[in-house]
Amino acid sequence: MSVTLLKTGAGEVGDRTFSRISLDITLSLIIKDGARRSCLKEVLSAPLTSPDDIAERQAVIADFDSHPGLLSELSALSEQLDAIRSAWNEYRRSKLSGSVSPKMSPLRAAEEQCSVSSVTLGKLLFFVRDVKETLEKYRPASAPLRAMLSDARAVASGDGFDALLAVTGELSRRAPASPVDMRITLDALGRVASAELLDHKYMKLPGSGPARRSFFKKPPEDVPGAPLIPSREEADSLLPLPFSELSRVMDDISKELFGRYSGLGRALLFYSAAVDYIAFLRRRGTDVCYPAFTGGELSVRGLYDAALLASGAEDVVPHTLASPGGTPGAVVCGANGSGKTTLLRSLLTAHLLAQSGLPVPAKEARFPVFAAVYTQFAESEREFAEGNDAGRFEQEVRELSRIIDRAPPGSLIVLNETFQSTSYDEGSEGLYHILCCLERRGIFYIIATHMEPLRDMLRGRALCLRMNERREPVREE
Amino acid sequence: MPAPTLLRTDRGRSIPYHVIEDLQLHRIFSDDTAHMLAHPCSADVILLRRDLFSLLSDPDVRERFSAFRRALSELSRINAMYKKAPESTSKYFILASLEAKYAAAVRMIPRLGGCTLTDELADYWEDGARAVGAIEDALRRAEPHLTAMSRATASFHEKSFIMPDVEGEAYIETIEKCASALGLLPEGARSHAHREALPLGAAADAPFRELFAEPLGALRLILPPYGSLELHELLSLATEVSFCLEICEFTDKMTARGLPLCCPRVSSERRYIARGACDFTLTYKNIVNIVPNDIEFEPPDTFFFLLGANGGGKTTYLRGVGANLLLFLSGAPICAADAEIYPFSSVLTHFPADERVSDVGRLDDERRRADAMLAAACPDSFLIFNETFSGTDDKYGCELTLATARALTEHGAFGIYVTHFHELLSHGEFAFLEAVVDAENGNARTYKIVRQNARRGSYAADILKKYGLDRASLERRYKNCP
Repeated sequence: MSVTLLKTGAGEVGDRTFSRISLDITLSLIIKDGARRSCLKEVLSAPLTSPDDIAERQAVIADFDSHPGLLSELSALSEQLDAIRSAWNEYRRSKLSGSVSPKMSPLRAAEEQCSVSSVTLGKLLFFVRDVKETLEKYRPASAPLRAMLSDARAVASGDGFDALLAVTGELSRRAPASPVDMRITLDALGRVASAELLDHKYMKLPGSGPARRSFFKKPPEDVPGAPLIPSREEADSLLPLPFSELSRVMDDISKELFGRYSGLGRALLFYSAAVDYIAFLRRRGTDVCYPAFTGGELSVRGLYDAALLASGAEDVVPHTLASPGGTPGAVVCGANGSGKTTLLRSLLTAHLLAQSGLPVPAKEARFPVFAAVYTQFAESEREFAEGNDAGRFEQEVRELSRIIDRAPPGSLIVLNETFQSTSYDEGSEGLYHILCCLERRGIFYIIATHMEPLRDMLRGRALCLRMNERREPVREE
Repeated sequence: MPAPTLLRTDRGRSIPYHVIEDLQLHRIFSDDTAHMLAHPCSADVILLRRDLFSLLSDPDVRERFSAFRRALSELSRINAMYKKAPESTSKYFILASLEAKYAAAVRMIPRLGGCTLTDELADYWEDGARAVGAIEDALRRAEPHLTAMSRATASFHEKSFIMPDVEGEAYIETIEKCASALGLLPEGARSHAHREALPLGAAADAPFRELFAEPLGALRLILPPYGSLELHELLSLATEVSFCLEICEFTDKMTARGLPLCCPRVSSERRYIARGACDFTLTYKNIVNIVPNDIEFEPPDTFFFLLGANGGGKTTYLRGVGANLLLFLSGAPICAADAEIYPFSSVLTHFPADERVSDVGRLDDERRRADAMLAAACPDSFLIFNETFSGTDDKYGCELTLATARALTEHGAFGIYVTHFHELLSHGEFAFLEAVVDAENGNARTYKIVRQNARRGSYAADILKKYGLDRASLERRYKNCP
């Protein structure tokens, strides 16, 4: 069982997509904290593929957005958890490497290990109690945060929590080299199957009557015992056993708790980045909305290009377009500098953010859920310098071929000026067959192109857009 | 009366282990089973084993064999522990466990099945089973003493001592109880389940013996002595039981893959006929479509050269012939639709020398091994050659190949020889098999092996097409786009 605030998305984002739409630069301008930014990028690269999961994540972001104290207090607790984990891992590492007091006797080493295990478990139990109290204070509405509260309550308010806390406290305070009493159990082959440390307070000796008695101060005469004089080697193997077994079971519990909260730190980094991003959009004064994921419709009203917003540009043109469900794709034409690439970028950036549960800078947005997103951009200026073992056209064909092989049905492929390095007629025809192939496979495409023949071939089939002089997309009949 | 083996394995009759390796059987079967395949059976044992394998098709019988194998394995482990253990408290526990496992294993024998081989075994162990009653009775009487000795409390203070178990709660019990209630540990999880049990050392053993002198004395009198158990005879059955089960698992796997299986008729005449035989070793490589082929070795055609296209299935055919023959000789079903086979006394193989470690040149090594094979060959032998002498020039290689084939036929042995020396076709004294290609379909491989004269050429260029690297394949890639 684990406390999941951040589900892992099953979607895929093709290589170089972030750099092609400058999303890495955009994020670095909006989110100053490197760890948060890096975590956000990681999450964006595996988008969610279920509308329910997206809605759930949107609700968590809304919770943190409306309760900043909840995010900061949970983040502080998460840092405490990291510190407990680091200390525990450090001890285990140094123990494995033999650098923990190499001259220590096996009994002392086992006692020390038991002490570390009990301290760690005790701290973890306090951590869970604090998580419970923090969540109870803010009363979040989202299902994942409520589930986290419910899990913390089951532990911190459960029967046995106080007793467990008390035992860990007692064991962590136990003085080294104290007398040891253990119950030895032999297995069917006469080997020591277990050696359990007995609690002195609850031992009752044979013939000692109903009163609880400890015999450490002076062993009673009437107990039928046989003297035990172990060799050093035997003492070294038997005496540490109860402590090792205690450590093991406490470590198992600690591992369970660490496991439950293993994703907490990363999740909180992501949500902190999300809150930073929303704060940025509010500072820019744009509309902010959580897109809907219903049916196959792709439509936006008043969508701003996040990259331009992040760059500080003032005259950012909002985009509005609608592609009804069932349309196989969209082709965007227009003169040089008319904003074709900006439109692709704003749409794709908004979609990637939205499918990861984040709001977008728009009045309204509706998107399909895509299984994967791939891009193929003409890259005459930059990437063609590296590893150029084929002609430019050939490289584009090769990349597109790989994308088509890989893309599952329900994917999105965004093409920007693809095949512009060949004749328009040949390029258009080649691309038309490829786009038809995508359509048959249920892969949605958006292509920005100069190739008018291609637009003509797709007319009536795909959504045809032309960028006007105000750099807005206009639907062509 | 000596104890019978389950499968009447004749250890004196064996074929070299490299034959198993050449035929890739060591990749399909465990080491023990692969070694069992190296002991070919006579006709009567083949038939007896077949009855047993038939019996094992019943899931209940197979489960009893599986349980017996597990029991023998556990018995073997505890026996090794007993032999190593010094005289101590633990040794009594081990002896009691050993005797319990021994009794349980012997009790299983009469229930193994109802065929000649299992009945022979049951008859022998019937006496043992009677003795087992006494062992079981002794174990019942020993039980309270063992229980009394299995728990104690050890106190380590200024003076350390061991005493009988005292009442009291262990910390670990408290922790586990609380953690389980909170859902932080699986119910009943015990920490010591993760570690090896610790031997009771000599020093701890001494107070145990002092404290439990009485129950130990009783155990000394109650438990039957180790020497009274027929452990060696019982444990020697393990390899054969495993062999039976592995053959069953193998036939299940082949059936699941849709390969044909049959129990060949045992021929009294020297012949090897099989319809729709498959090289089942290809399953190791997860190949799905295994093409069946016929096998026909019958006088006067007791020897064939096999020629044809590269990658056309020559070696596969060769392996199918040899691997199925070895299965037959072990009494197991073979991968074919129908077959009739003579129980050859030996199977010998000669595979390319470059896969072996050799201190001489490759050709010399190949000649030496071929000579040794021919020296060992007799009319009841089946010899398999794969690209032998391919490492020299065509003329000399062809001469050596012809000389080998002639020597083999002079011995009266059966054999098959894969080669690419097409010049052999001009020698009319031998029969030929050919790996067929589909000339109308760009020389696509059919993996069918038929008897006819092979055509020249190894079609190396076709291999390129197979990987889609020729022009036509590349153009076809998007042909379905409108």
